[in-house]
This record gives sequence, structure tokens and C-alpha cells, in this order.
Amino acid sequence: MQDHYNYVFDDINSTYQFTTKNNISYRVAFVKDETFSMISSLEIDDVFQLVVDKTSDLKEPLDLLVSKTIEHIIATFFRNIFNSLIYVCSGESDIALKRHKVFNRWYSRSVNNINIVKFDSVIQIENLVIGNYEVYASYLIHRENNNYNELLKLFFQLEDVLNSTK
Amino acid sequence: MIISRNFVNLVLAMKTNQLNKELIVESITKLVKDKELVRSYIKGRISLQELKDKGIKFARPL
Repeated sequence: MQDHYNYVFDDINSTYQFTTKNNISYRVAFVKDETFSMISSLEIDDVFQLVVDKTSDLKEPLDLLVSKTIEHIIATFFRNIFNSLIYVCSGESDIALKRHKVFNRWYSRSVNNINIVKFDSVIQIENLVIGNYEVYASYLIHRENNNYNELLKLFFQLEDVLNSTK
Repeated sequence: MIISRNFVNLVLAMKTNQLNKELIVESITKLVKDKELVRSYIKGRISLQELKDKGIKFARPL
């Protein structure tokens, strides 16, 4: 029995995509992220932001193969141990927290959570225009990444600097 | 890519005091905004060109 959906990279849309048995299409995008480069002034490649969404607003009945497919994509992504991934949830606080919890649950059930390590940070953003809000950030990195400690320092610096200047 | 550990430590030490809140807020705001734009793109609400114009670059890391 198939343990995940087949996915392909769509050259036109520049995203990975798969379709479920309920005919719901998902797209998975890896966006080159420059957050670490911005705060360190170093050129840091191989850091990506993960974005996953359905192409429509149709409700998806519970389908375990969806999370298995995303897990497979991420496991393949980490075959290159220098790759690392940022996943953020924000918006109305209860929705952001809910999404963050779903991601946590997905990660804790993942068979790859021994080599791929996840760190979390809750970042408070003060904004005079739209009001203060929280960003739930997760950072996934391969345990054998040669720059493990340096990259983690950068990740936690995001939270540290904001908290220290309050 | 391998980054020299000493070099990163040195740069971080120098930067720690310089880093200001605005820069961090700006980078996190961009992170959040990029995600929202990409979600809009996936839903078909904006075009790939609009993403490119905003400096968003997709990768094919697999």
C-alpha cells in the first residue's frame, strides 16, 4: 500500500504538488529565506521557508497520507544535511497557536525527528499600526549540519534581541 | 556551504551590540509577509510575477 502521495515539481508554478484521493490539490513551496543573512550580514544559503497550502478552500476530510507526503518531502529535503527550514505561524493569536500545535504534533509523530531537530521560538512583535502580535517560529535543522551551532545562535538571536530590548 | 565557526562567532560578537530591534522586526515581518504572499499565490489570488516583484524566490531543493 502506498505510504504517501506521489508528488512532482511543477516547473510553471515552481512548487511541489500532489493531489489527494478526495481530489484536493496541495502545493509545497520552498522559499529562499534571507532572515539569517539579514541579521548576520553574512551570506547564508540553504535556509528556506516552508509554505504548504491547498489550492482551494475545500475542506479536506481526515487523510493521513497528506502529512505522510509532507513528511516524505521534508525527509528528502534533508538528504542535503546543509539544508535547514523555517516554519512560521502568525495571525490572530488563537489561529497561529493552533497551527503551531498542528505542526508540533506532525513533527512529534515524524519518523525523522531523530536526525532532523526542531527548535521553537515565540517572538513578540510590537507594531503601532496593526497592534502587537506573536509569531510562532520553528526551525528544523539536520543534526549533522556542520554549521549547527552557528545557525541555532542566529535563530535564537531573533527572540533574544527582541526580549532584551523590552 | 561551510561557514568558519570562528568567523561566525566573531561577526556575531561584533553584531550583537549593533543589532537593533528594528532590523529584527523587519526581517521577521518579511518572513511572515512572504508566507502570506506565497499562500495567496498558491490559492491563485496573485501571480508568480507579483511574488518575483516582491523579491520572493522559490527553490527546488529536492
